[in-house]
Amino acid sequence: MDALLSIAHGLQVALQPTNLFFCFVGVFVGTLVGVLPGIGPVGTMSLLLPATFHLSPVGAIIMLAGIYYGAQYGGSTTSILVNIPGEASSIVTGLDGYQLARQGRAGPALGMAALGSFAGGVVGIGGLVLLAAPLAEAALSFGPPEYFALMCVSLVVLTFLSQGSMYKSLMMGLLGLLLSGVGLDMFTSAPRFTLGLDELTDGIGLIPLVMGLFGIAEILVNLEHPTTRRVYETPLGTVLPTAADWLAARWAIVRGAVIGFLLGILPGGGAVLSSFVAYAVEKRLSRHPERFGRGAIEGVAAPETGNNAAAQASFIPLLSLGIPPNVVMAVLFGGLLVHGITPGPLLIQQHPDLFWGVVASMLVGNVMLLALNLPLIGLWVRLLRVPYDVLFPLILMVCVVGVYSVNHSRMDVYVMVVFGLVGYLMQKLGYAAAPLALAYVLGPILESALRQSLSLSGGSFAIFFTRPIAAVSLAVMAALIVLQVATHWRRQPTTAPPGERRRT
Amino acid sequence: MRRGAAGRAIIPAVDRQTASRAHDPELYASAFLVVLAAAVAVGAWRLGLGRVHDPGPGFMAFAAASLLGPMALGLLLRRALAPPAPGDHAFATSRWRVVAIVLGTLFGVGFLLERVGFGIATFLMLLVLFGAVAGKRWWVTLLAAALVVGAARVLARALGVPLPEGPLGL
Repeated sequence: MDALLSIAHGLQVALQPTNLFFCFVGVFVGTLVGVLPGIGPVGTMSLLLPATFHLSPVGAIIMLAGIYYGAQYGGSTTSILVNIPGEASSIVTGLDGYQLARQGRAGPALGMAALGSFAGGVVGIGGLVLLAAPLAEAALSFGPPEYFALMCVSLVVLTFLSQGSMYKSLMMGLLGLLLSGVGLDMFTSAPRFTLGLDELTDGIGLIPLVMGLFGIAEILVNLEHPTTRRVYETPLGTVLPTAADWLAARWAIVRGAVIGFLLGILPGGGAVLSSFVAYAVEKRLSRHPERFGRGAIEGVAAPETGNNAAAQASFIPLLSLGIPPNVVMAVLFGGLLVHGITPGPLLIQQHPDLFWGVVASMLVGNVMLLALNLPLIGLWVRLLRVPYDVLFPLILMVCVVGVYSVNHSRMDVYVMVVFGLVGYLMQKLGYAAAPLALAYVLGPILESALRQSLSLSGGSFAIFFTRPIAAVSLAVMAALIVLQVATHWRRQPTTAPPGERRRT
Repeated sequence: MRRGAAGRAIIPAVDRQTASRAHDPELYASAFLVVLAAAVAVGAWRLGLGRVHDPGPGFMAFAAASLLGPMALGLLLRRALAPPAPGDHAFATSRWRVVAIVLGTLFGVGFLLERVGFGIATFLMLLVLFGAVAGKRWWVTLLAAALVVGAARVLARALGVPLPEGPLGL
């Protein structure tokens, strides 16, 4: 009952004309970046962050959140029509979606993707409404040791779930922690690793770091493979799936929503992993697994439902615990901080308008996305025909404007360039960027929690093992590491193939 | 050097191994991380590790560097002992000229932005990107760069994003 009243209050906030407008802008831009390969929600949210400085916190977060789940919708369009995923979370959608397009069934495939995404989104929001508040209440009893342990386990789970070598991902997590230490020490105000540069006393900016690692690096990699995007020429016809399609996909949607929701809450889970798992589960459970990859409608429904459910669910750890489970949420975390709001267990109590307004806006945004994705598919298809060599200079210019306007600092542009090169080299050598970025965001909180815990315990590390939540979290972390080491020893040591593209 | 039937040089297996090791980017990457971790550990030590009940400003960085260094060293040794097969090169498809132009142009924009203003700096950037990287015709390049900069100005003003104008007010 409380949840219903709260969501009704949230709807009042979300349906205010200005917030409706920002929600529309968010989901529209999200769909746009989802459709266009080479620019993702992380980069776009970072770019638009400076533009939100003048907005109300509620409007700003509604818009940024809309970009994330909007991108999940848009990503499927390119996967189905061109077989080039707009987003990593739509890679598997293309396996069957593109085959359906070749069979002249692009319309129902796109329709199923949009409707499945909607179903996943609604399930994710329902879970968010039911779980976030109790979780936040429980988290009020957490102290520094619990937070330290939870953040450690978040980082390890993220590296565990990253594609490729966990060893390298762990190294990148540690590198992220080192980078987060640049700037003034939070306890003593001593400058650390600033190389004598005044601009670094506040640390390395999150936006230039993320823009470099994800935006610039992605463009540099894309420029290596000039692809001609040939949109599959097929009449879209009706975008509504047939009764037979619904019958075939109904359980795929249900399972996809549950899988997506559960994996979305996990640190490091998010939309990418859930789409792969949802697809794999459907194929495993199917009586005719041979149909998968040849145009099975369930192969479109499951990953699309999964990735959108996960996108909504990943807000739970951010909004209730203050721990971003993935890089997109880390950028949103930065967005909340910019507006003077600290994500965490007190957020719901202190800023109910923001919390419930954002949750309700997701519901509104998902309805908007249905309206955007079904009738406007023709427009998105036309956008796909814009060649990449016209797009990339525009994206780079927007990167420069976005990064510069955060602090009006040239240094931020230089930092973005440096991390662009670093990100490019990392992609080529098979090092995942996501653990680095997440560790960079979590670093200061992790350090603060560690130092406070040790002060509280008088220097005894036993504090992490005598408190149940901290102990269980650290046990899970240790188990994951042992599991990975054991798997590594059982197999022949393998290294990531050269130039492996890491998507987390 | 011996030559095969097609006139190509036949490189002995040991030389091939040495050559691939010498040009193994993985080796350089892990060596860089070892050096970085060592430098951070020294820096953190100088900052002060504090005591266990009152950790100092260098404590966390030292702990992270102490884990990163050995891990990177492990990778370095593994790579040194088992070099990749010849041709197994992460940068085989890299277009270094494009990478250098793009990054150099972005760096140049950062340098010029406040000196000449947003309009001129980004116009020059787009000229290079459309012309030298995308290979567009000169008039397309000029037109596109002018249009994009104009549109960006309008958009930035609409969003309330202040941009540097430089001495010419551009």
